[in-house]
Amino acid sequence: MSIEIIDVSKKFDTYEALNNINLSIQPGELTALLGPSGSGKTTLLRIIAGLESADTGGILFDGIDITESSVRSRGIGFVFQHYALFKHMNVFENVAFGLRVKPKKERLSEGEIRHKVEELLNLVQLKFHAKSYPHELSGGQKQRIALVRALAVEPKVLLLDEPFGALDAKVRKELRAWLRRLHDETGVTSLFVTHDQEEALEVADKIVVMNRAKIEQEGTPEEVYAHPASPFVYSFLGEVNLFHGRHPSQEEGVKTITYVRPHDVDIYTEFHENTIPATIIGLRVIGGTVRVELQEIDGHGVEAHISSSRKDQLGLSVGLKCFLAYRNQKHFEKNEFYKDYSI
Amino acid sequence: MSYGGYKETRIIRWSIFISAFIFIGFMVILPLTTVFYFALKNGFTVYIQALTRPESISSIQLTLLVGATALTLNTIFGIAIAWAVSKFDFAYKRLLVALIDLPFTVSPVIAGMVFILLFGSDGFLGEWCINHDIKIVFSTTGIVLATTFVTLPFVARSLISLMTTQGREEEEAAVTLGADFMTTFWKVTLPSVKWALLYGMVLCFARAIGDFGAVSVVAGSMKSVTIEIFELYNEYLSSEAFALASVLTFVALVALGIKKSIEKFHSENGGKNEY
Repeated sequence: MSIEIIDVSKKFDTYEALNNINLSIQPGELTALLGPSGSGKTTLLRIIAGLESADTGGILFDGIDITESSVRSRGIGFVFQHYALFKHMNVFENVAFGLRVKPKKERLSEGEIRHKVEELLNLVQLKFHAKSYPHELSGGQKQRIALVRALAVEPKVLLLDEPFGALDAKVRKELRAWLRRLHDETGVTSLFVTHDQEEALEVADKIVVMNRAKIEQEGTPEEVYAHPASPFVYSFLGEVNLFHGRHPSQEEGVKTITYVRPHDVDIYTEFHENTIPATIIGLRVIGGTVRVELQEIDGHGVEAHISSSRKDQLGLSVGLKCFLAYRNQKHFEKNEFYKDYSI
Repeated sequence: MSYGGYKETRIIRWSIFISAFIFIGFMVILPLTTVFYFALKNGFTVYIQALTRPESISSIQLTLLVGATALTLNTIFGIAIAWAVSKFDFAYKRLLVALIDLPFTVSPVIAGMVFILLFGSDGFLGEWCINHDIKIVFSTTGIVLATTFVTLPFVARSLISLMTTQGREEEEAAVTLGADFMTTFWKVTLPSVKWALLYGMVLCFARAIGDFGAVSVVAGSMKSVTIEIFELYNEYLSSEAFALASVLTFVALVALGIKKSIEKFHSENGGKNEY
């Protein structure tokens, strides 16, 4: 099912949560709403679900206006950050809930419900926990139950609010991959909210970057990463080095900011053309990558990420004088920068 | 580091311990035993006779009726108030929550008098009541109203704090799964607070049957158990008075037992379920 969001704005008292949002989501896509906390992404998700109402604007599902429709008639599945499992029901009853509360004429028979729930529990490998209560499960197990509970009613849209936010790093990684597989199998249009750029880049077909109640950029993970539309997107999607006033064809009076990702910094031990002299002031080895802290000759700090084999090859050590070359530099005008960062 | 290592702290500890025990013994245990001692002083037959007097029986009936009605009213309104306060946002919410506690701070005598001033023959609504042939003051209705007022906070209080910490997510989840308003309430909201509800109900009932202050003002010639005890005692019929008192005390002890076992059960099972 396609989702169309048209001119949606929302204020909480004086706080502006969403400012004229327009967005369309194609059927079967897995979309990430990415942004820092307070950027409005969760509010947008809740408005799509009907748990919150927009002040202005509307939502279309498959071209049909559902702005005024109740939550239960929208045919959505919602997954909460803190699972929101029914604590007084066991796992089986949690998953069966949506099937049991259907109107009598749509409701499956008890046997069919049983069969369906067992099938879903098999899917998440929690068959043997059917009789367990939520407090007996780990965070990862709870979230898997919450997911199949939402899927049990066969929603046309699956909405996930920071689904892995409360889990530890390892479980989060596993569940991410699992969500991606699940999405590929079921093909249900899905939208998930996250503040973790790695998660968005890894899982989503499409990323919508939000900041301060507005959409900054939307596109495939490759697009937004390689061609960020604003300094905000650039710095939010990965680590950066930034330099003031280094645009090669700098016009008079226009101040610029130049961004370079740490993995786009090349280190040489001998002078090359267009390189800048610098000194290594710190080395940290993290697995196969080495984070090199450097200081340019004018005192400006730079971080470079290189492979540990490259480090050994160059024989880098703290205090060594070397030369830096910057690839894929991205220039923004300075007033764009302040628009984003002055508060 | 432990506190027990020093002689002085040990002495202080023991003196606090002993004074607490003496205090509880003197203020609670001694009066309690006295009730049962005087009730049974003249033998078991006299005790049974005292309880089976028609006046005793009718007072027990009245008190049970009043207690059950006040409990029912306060359970229904307590759930409604707690639900409104914890699951929805509206203007003057904090004022409403503050007002719920008023019956705890106002003297029961005043609570009774308020209803006389409202519904008595000279009261604001008194004439209207007489014209419509509605009798509130000096009737069961009046006693129920006064008792309901006095016991109003118990159910609402015990639910509000729990329901507020539980938040709205489970209800939201239920609605996204297709449950309607009432289904969400019966299948999600209510079961998740059942122990707190029962706890509040036990306290409410125990307080309702034991009230004297408010009831004595509005009862007129009607006699609840507490009024009956008071009058018997004033007429120097102490074994009858203490026999009835022992019934109230017994009910109070049962209520305490239920309350304790709910707390225990809740901390062993329900407590873990909360998060």
